[in-house]
Amino acid sequence: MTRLNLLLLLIAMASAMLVVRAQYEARRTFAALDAAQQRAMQLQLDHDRLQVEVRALSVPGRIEELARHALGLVPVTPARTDYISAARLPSLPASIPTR
Amino acid sequence: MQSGVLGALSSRALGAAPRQAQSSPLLRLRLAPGRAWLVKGLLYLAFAALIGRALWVQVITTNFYQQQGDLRFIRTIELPAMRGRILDRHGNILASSIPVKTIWADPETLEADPGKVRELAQLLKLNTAELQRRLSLDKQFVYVKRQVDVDTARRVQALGIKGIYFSPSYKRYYPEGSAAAQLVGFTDLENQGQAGVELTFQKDLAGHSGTRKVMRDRLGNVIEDVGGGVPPVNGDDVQLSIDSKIQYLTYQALKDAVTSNKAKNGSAVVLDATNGQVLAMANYPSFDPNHRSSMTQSDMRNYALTDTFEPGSVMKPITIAAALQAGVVTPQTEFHTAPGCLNVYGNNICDDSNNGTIALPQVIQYSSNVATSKIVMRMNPRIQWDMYTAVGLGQRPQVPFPGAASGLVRPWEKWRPIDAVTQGFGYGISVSTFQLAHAYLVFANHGRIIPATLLRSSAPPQGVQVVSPLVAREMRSMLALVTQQGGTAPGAAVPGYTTGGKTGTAWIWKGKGYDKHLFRAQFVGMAPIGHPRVVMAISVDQPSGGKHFGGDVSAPVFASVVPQALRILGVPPDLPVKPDVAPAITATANPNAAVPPSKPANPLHKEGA
Repeated sequence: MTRLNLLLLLIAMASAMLVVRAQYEARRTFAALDAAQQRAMQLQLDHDRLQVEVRALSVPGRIEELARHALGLVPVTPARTDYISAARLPSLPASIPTR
Repeated sequence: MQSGVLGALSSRALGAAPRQAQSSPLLRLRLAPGRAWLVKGLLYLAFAALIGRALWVQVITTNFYQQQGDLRFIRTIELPAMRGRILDRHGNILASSIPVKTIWADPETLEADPGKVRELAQLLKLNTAELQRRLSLDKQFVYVKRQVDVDTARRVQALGIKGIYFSPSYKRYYPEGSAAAQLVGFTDLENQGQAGVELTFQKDLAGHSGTRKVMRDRLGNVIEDVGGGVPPVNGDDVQLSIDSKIQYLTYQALKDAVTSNKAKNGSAVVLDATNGQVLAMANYPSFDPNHRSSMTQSDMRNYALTDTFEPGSVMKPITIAAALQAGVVTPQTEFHTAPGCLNVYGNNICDDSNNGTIALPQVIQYSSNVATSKIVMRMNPRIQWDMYTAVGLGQRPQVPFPGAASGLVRPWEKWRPIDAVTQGFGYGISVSTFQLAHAYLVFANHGRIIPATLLRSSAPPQGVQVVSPLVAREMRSMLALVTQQGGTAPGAAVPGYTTGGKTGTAWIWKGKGYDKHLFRAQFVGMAPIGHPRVVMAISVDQPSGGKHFGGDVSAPVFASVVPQALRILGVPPDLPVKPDVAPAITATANPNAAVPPSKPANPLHKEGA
């Protein structure tokens, strides 16, 4: 009888330890998940911010300023444009944007 | 050995105690039996109290203690919704939120020596004395600076000042700057739309902030999601029909026109003639929505939509189209305009010069007030009024913009005979620049009027046939004469494309009459005239730099924007042009083929050299 009690006591203690450990693990994993989520959000914000920065660097006003003054370009006119009909165009690689 | 000693000690001790008890009267136990029971009873009572307390805490008042526990460890975190972006027709950003930091301080716990405060002020570009004063206030919260960019905030954090805190927030950023300022509008520090599209679409753009319930440990780390939170809903993006390149070109050209003519202000609208979408809407003076400290009320006005004026001669084509549609006149009808003035109901109506006898197309080409008056007098005022209202004059434009003006077209029943005549050439009626551009869609779109829209949509527009396609074509051929030599706006001719339009130069009403030294210069045009793709209206208020005619002040804006806009829209020229550079190597030619050295293949090389 005493042995059985001792065994049960041991089992009870072991399970108590496991519960504590499981709880600890769960909280640690949750903290990691939370940190990862925070990071994902931060990266999303950074992505948005960088997109805005890209746009700020490519606004027509800035491009025109650079084209006119730094590169000495002039606006395109029909007189200096060679128009090619779409039928004469060889198919372009998909990587080339057409707009 | 050891056990022997222990055994001896214990046997001595055991033997000694009873002997001492017997010898000492103090140690002799003479307890009354009740006292033992008393101690026992007290012990039981103590246990009962413990059980009672446990019951009290864990069963009866559990909720209270649970609440107190939650108060100490469970936090509700506010999750702000990200405001939606405003995009142009190609998805370019016109307005977007960027994360920034709000820097605040708790003066009670602040630990900063004057040197640190000076460094902080320098980093944030603040006045050191003012910052020092604020940081020594008897408060627990003072703003140091709001909307600080993330990099600067990081440098402030590196100073390691105790008592300075950072909270995340958003700031609206407008990459286009002043070019589309009035149209896009702006938000306040709390991210609420205050003007323009930001205000109209506040509900869609704002979204809904959410909450999250979490359990935090002693160090403030989140250790468990408790549930019961509401996820945030980010704001929707709003895509406008604006083309940011055309918008910029329009703004620049308008700015040049207003400044070089020393005008008070100006506005311009570019519409896609095929679907009524607004490609550009520019105003000058303007402001930079990113730095609004020097902004004035007049800079904020979207003149194109909110300000109405007497349009002058740009009304003539609309009046004449009504007459043509009603069969009152034909393109061959001739008018005697000599000697250049006509007395109508006691009022003298004059042309700029004596045009003699002219046919209907020349009425438009020379902008004859006399001939237009004669046409109006042949027409029922009802027909004229129907035409004006059918093209949207006197009605609030159906565009989502705060404060869009309806203008004024009085009911025809209330017109005096002279009113019909003056309205025929644009006095006694008020319109906005936007309404003018929209009204001319009727000519550009084969007699159909379609609603103008600020939002990008791929659905085909639903239009109403106002005049027959034949009348629209006849009107376009008359408008084409205006931009040719001999017309009132040869400055609106552009290389490569046929254009057409109408000028308007109106006196401005001051006090009790028209001030004949104050003008408003208009031009409404379209190109290519055979199958118009764009319609553009320009209005410049009070040019005072020597020129004041619509053809001199406003038509050049048209001429500098429209060819570029047509190129951006991919419209091929409909006029032969003499190339001023050698044709580039065509795609089918061998790129290695010899190119004459005097004719560089790439025109850019020639320009750059």
